[in-house]
Amino acid sequence: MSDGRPPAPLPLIRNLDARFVAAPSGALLSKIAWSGPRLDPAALSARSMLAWLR
Amino acid sequence: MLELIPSAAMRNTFDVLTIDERTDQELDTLPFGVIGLDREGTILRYNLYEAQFARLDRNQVLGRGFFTEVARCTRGEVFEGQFRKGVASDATGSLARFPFIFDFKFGAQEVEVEIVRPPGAPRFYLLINRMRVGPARPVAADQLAIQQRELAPDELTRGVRRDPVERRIVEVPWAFFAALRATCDQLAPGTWQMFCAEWGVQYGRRLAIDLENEAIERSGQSVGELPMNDFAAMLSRRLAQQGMGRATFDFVAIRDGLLVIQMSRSMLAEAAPRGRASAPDPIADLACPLLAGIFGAVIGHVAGRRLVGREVACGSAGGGSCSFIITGHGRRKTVDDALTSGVRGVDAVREILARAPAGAQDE
Repeated sequence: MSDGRPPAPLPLIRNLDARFVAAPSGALLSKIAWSGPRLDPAALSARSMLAWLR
Repeated sequence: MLELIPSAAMRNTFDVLTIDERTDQELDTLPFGVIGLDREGTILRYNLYEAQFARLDRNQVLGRGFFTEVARCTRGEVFEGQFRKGVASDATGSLARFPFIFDFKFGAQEVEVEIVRPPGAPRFYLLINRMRVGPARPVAADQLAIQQRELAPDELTRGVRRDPVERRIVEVPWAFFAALRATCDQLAPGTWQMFCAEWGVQYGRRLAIDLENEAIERSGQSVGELPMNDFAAMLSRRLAQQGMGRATFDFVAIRDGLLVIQMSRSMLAEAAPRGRASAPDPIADLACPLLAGIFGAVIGHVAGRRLVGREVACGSAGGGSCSFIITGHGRRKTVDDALTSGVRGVDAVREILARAPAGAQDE
């Protein structure tokens, strides 16, 4: 991943809504600022989400 | 059926035939149960994962008979019989592999067992892969695995405290952490952060095993298979239960390869000196390297690769909550150089990482 690209393939969720809501437990506030394809932490597994870290 | 273990995944990086050469600390970071036995079945080694799933304190099980005292549900041909047969054969390598159900008073655990005798090793090893957990089955009392309170019935009177799943716990006041920080400043100004970060990493690896336990008991999934939000809530809840503060996960920079965690009311930040710095130290204001290490190790466990956690702004400096970033280990030097030169805050560090050439970020 040294070329700056995210690992592939990952299930992207096309949703332009700008902000995620808090988890039911209230423990989580996931702020999403971009408007393009986004990674949804409510739908993606932790392993898939964290595969984006580089 | 859930594939938690390593039979396949872990073996890419871990050869079970070398298990006898592994230190106890290494065994404690494995995501499956490991029990070392002598020829008679006396327990010689017992790793953290096994202790947590069996809800037993390893200090109480070492030296006891696995089949006769601790796991009475394993007596009989299916489990003990295969062990005895393997011992008698003098063979080495993987001696047997079979499904089994452990019956505890608190529930039944469907497992896969592998009996291994590493070549040249004096010990035999049971590798226990939890496949599924469920409610207790109606079996006779003498067929149930032993409980912690049976192993040490008088420990409450000896100053031992346990949580509801039998982990030994210690309750300490805030001053304990203030004393730790004072000791760090006095004995290792400028270098204590490295010690505390590694302490956090070591603890984080063990906490990850604990969270795996919780995940499989609650949902039958490994932590990595949970939705990201659920994993984040689980980690946040655990730290809050321990009184460490409240962690909030922020995915705003995930496409830049960064995970951001905000920690409000960090115990470590609040235990740091607020009035006067004790010694010249360019990162003395970053009071929570222990937490940074924990985050890096737990999240690295879930991601399945080496990550680094760093605090980039600290509440001890008067800014309220603490900010942490989690990113690939290859970016560690870039981040550390920025922090040492006085850069603070998620946005500033993110900008520096975005400008750094990709090659320079690799190790």
